[in-house]
Amino acid sequence: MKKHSAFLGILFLTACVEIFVPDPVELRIPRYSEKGYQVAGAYVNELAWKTEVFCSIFGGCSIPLRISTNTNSEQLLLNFDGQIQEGLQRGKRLILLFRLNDLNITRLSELTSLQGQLFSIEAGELQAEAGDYDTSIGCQRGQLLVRRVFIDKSEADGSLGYIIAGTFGLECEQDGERLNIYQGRYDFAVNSLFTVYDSLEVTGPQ
Amino acid sequence: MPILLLLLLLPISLQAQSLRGGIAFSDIYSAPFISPHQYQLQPVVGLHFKLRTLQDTLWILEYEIGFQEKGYATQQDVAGQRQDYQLNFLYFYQQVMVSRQLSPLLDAYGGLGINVLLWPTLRTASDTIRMRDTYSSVDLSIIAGLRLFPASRLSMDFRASSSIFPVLRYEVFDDFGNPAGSKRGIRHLTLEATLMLNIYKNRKTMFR
Repeated sequence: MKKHSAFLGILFLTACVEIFVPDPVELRIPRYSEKGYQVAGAYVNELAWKTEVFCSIFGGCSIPLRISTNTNSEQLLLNFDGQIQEGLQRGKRLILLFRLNDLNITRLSELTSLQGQLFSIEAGELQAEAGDYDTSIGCQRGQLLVRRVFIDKSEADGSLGYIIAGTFGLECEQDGERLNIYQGRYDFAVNSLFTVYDSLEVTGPQ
Repeated sequence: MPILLLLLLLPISLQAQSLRGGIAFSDIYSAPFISPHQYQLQPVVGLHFKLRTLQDTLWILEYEIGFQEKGYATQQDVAGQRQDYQLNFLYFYQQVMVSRQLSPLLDAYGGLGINVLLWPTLRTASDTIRMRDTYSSVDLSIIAGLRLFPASRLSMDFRASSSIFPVLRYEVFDDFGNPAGSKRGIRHLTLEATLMLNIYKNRKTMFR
């Protein structure tokens, strides 16, 4: 069992290794791409933030992107798990949670219906919060744009998956604490090898 | 990659009449969205061929291949502290030039270059990151220069080159991630000071 877990762990880390290509102008955050580079980034209060794969000595590794639905599948949840990259807060964990409302997505293959859709907090299409596992701050203004979702035919093991890429920006405030999350962009390969999605029926693209 | 290219070009390399090496002051222009930016000193090495004379012996068609690193330095303010960045672009270049003898001690020349991008990187104090799929893979350039003591064993070469077209197409987003169009920019500008080791101490061409 231990051997099996170690093998899966190596496989997981191999598949999740990000490719960080800096933006040619905003050099501290990833550039917008649609390649499945397994990375999201943004400025959080003017400090660079980026998703990370990191493992705890107490067991378990973080997953940069987690896709799930709520119990009645009305909301699609996107979790970007990362860290502040610079300044005194370097290494501080910050998870961005996006709840996309009124979608009724039950299968992974239905992600393609998101292409080109803009989800705005002000329009009631999106709820978002930012924080770590202990505390989080609700966001009152902002949006998530899904620019591209397409079938990824380049998985190393021959299986098919999806690439989801887009941009976001949020303004969150609670109890005097304020987070301005600007210039956000993400580019993930969602494949069927690993548990980066919950509550979604997996049916490979035809 | 550079070694592989050299091996592929070995047959032609053996025909070279001069070896060129030195430094280049490299910077960029037409990049208003990158500020500030400063020049960098970069290496350049090449093999030089005098192909043939044109009409009279004062005009010579020349060809050169080699490797040149271009780039620029920039800074960004990070939590009140300045952070330095170096953008380096390793190119394999081919240049076709026409030179004119102005005096026995001085040649002037001009021409066009095709630069193939091999390895673009971003260097910080702690890291070197490959800037894949970001810049144009080919940079066309216009070149002009002067060559001192062209008929001696060691000559001095001063060359300016500039990109003809921008090498970056940049997609712009507003703070909330709305696409705000695309911009084109970044042209390389280099001023080179190199020494040429001439195999022949005259203006001999490969072909008549």
